[in-house]
Amino acid sequence: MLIPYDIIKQAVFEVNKSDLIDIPHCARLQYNLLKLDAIIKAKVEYNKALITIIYNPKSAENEKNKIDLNEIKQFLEKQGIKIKDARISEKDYDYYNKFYLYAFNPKQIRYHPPYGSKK
Amino acid sequence: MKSKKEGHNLIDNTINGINDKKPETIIEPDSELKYYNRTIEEIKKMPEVDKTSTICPECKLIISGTLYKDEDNVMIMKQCPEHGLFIEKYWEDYDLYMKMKKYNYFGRGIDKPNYINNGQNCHFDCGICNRHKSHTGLANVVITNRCHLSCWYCFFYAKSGDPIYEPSLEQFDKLFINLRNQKPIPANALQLTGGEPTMHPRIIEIVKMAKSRGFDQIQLNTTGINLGFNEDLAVNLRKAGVNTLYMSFDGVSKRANPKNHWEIPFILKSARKANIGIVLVPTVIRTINDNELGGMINFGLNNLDIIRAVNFQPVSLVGRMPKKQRQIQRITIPGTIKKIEEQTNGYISKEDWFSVPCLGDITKFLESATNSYKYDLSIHFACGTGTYLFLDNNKAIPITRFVDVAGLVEYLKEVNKELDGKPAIYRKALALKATGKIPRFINKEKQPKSINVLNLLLSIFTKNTFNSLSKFQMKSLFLGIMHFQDEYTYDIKRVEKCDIHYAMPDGEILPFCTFNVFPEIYRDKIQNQYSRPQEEWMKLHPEWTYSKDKYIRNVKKLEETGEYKNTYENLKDYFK
Repeated sequence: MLIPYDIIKQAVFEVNKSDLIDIPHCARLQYNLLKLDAIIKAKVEYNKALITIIYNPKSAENEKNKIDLNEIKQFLEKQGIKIKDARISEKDYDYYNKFYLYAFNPKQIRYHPPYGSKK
Repeated sequence: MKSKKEGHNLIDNTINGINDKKPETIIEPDSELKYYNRTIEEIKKMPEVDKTSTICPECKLIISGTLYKDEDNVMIMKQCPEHGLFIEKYWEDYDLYMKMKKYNYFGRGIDKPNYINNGQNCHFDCGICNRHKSHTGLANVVITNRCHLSCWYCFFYAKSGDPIYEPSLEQFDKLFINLRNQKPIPANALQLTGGEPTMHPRIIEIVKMAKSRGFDQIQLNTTGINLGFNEDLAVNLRKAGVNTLYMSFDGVSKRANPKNHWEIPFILKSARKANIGIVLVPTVIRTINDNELGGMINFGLNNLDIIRAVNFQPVSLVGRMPKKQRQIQRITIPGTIKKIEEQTNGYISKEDWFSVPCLGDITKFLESATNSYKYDLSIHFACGTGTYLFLDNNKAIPITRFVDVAGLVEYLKEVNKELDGKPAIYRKALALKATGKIPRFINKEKQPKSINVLNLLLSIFTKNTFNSLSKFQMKSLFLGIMHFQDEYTYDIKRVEKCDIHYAMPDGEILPFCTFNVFPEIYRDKIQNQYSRPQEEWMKLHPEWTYSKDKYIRNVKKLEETGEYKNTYENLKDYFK
């Protein structure tokens, strides 16, 4: 079975809220990050001023497009994020166990009985 | 001698590169372009219909959209601070919009979503989230991106040099299990799509696998061409569990339907032998094939033994195109309805159509009565409409002419209020009593004499099985119109209620329009992750070449056949 990624990377950027401008611009930044092939998932949270990126690093053992943290920083700079002010953390991310397996068995968060039944 | 421009071999009359050219525009655009040239000051004076959230077609910034009334039309207007004003037709009939809007209700969504979101970054957080309002009514699974055609408007198939997407059986099984494990309502209707799904060498095993996982209804989204020339394949697909061929059909004429006009006669023959129902699926494009809508319905009526439905899809104008061309080609659901009324001489009028969620109170009634989950038809009212046509004494009669659909729905709405919160036994008894009152919504004078509509309807209400519904459908021709969105018409209120979902190889579930309007972050991105580069594919399949996948047609040979002549000559006109 073809699973494209194994151990990849997750980077979290704590940035200035003013750099994110507002919620619609955050969403667009998220979209622009996701357009990069080597970025698997991206989340830009305005209220928390956080950018979380799961990406395929150059050290990964696969044949897919890759990117490194410096290239991500350069990309974010071009999008108006002042990287030198940002606090950055990075760690390994287990794509298969944390993302893939969960996606095929997500947690049930609520219960809807059939129509007409007592709630 | 080959004409390189057209892919047409002039000596033996073969054509490759099927449908890779847009048919010529022969229909003059009507005077509908003035709506696009309004100024912002003019628009602000027009009555507002609704507000929504949408996107800038250029940069995808989330911006607010305003629906407003311009003469008969509902238009959508949005302004990007960087890219300016965008105006598009949303719904080409204000009165019909307001009528359909009455049937807007919210379903239960998905109780096991992939993501928990607050909605701030919606549409870019999809996969599917806790905020989604409808369960999966139809699950689409792409089984290959290889195709034997090269249609000019299609973005789904692999071009020469593109990676090949063709997951393994094990991967499909994971997708099917995931869909069937959904709560509160497991996905029950599955559409296998592509590319061209019949090109997958293990299609029969995939269908059998899906059937074993419990899908009641399995459709194949296909050109039909491979089935037309391989009756055994059609028979084996039926035995494996395929119920319906969801088949492209862009017109009756050669000009409007270069895709499979010549093969349709053979496809019908194979489908009859295999007893697989066909849904004809025309993509409707103004000035290209909008003059053949009545003809397509008539074609369906002429082949009612095997054609179950005609499901029109007004074109979704995704991707870059010149502004004027987009404006000329745009057609919406009411625009399609109006053309159908004109082209069927009023046999199928504007009043005969109802929006899909209008039936929501019927399914709620069935669920409440049986205390078991049924489909929630909770899509947005602007997404889909339908009606049923019966043939009686060579006359086409829409169901609304003898069944008071609106009255029945209103009645069941009141019954549902009475059922709510009662014990199951009480609900069953009350539902049985309510079912006894259904005959009063049928006009016995006007109903088709050759069909017992009352029995068919009662069978749906009492037996309440997929079988009873299919018996109803075999006596009628369902007409549907589903309008999928693009960047210009994108409306988050419609997306969050979508019930046509794609199951992705990474486990995510995506609403149809999100999947297709943002392919760069969803469809193409995720499929590429799970694809093999063509060089790698060729090493695994040494006999394969890209050009071998492509179908070559011999027009003259096909036109000389008895099947071709019998299909297209002597079509009875049911709308005279």
